[in-house]
Amino acid sequence: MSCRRIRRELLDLLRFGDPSSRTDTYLGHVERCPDCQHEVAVDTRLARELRLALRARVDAYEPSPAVWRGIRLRAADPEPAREGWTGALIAAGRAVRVMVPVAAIMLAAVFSWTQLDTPVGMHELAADRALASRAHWQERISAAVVVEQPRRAVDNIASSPSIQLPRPSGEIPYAEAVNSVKVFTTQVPSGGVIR
Amino acid sequence: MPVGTTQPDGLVERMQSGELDAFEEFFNTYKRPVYTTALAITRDPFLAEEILQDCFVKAYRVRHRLRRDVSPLPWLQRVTTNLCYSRIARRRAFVEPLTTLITNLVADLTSRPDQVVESREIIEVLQRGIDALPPKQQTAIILYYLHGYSLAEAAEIAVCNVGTMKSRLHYALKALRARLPEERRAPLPVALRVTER
Repeated sequence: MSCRRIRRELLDLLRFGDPSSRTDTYLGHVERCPDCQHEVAVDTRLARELRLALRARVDAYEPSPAVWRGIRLRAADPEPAREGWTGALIAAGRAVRVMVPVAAIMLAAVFSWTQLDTPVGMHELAADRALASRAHWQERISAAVVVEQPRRAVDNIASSPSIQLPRPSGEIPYAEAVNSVKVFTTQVPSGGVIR
Repeated sequence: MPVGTTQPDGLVERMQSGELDAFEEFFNTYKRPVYTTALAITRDPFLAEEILQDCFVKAYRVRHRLRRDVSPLPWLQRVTTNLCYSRIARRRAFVEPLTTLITNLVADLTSRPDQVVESREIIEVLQRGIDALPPKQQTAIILYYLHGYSLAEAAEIAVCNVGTMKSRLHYALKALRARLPEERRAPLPVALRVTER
């Protein structure tokens, strides 16, 4: 077995006290090998001096009695609010912790509302979304009114400033458009002209 | 104080019920190892006292979460090391090196004048070496060589496994050994070996 490996095993033994089945063999080798003896000596001395160096850092000191007085005073107080960037970070974290579930709930509500009010399959087809566009919506009004009313009623309705029709600039939900048409058609007197 | 030692009878329980006397007993039981760790890391007695105070105030505030069946020392040591390194990072430098004190303390380590000088020098080298170690290795060294915790205990405090703790110690010792003077590291010259034999 090489000195290198023996040293590694021996240093483990010396440092951590992990004896193995080969410990006796290693020790026998060290007795015969000056280089390994030196390694062991250096490591042992280093550990001893390291302990001394560490003890030298702490041995001369004791915590003063004022420490306990300070602890007692502070322990009696409620936990002070943190200041500075740490406090700001914690506040932001708390805000996010509240806002994220709220936003998630809102998103879920909007999504489920869309799912419920949209005809089956409509939300899946981008082309169907065009149904809710303004032009298409007006066409649907016309079609719906024509069923029950004369065509001119529709023309009058379309040009009348006294009737407030929803005129969205972009898309509107399909269900909303259909409901508007229903409300609108029930308000038109049969055969009448709206001015 | 070994980590495995359980707490004095019902101490945490009494502390949790709000007894201030129990908290004082708790403080007196564990203050020394906590303070030692803080002082060994910071090398500043005043900062170490602040950390000691912070650690026990925190312990009091979270006393209801402390386990009654195990020693609170690993938790206290963990809080202490975290407080030390966060304070050090804030300060960026140690307030006052204690080189003079250390030199005086180690002067009587050995009786031979040449050994006294050498020991002083080596210990100063080691002090600088310990300060230069990465925090995790420094903590490992302090827990293992200063407190005398076992590998398993030190690993528990440092929240790592035994193998990692061993590895940290190996690297720390390697770094410290690299700082030793050349004649302390190199194998003995052949001539000297012959002479010694």
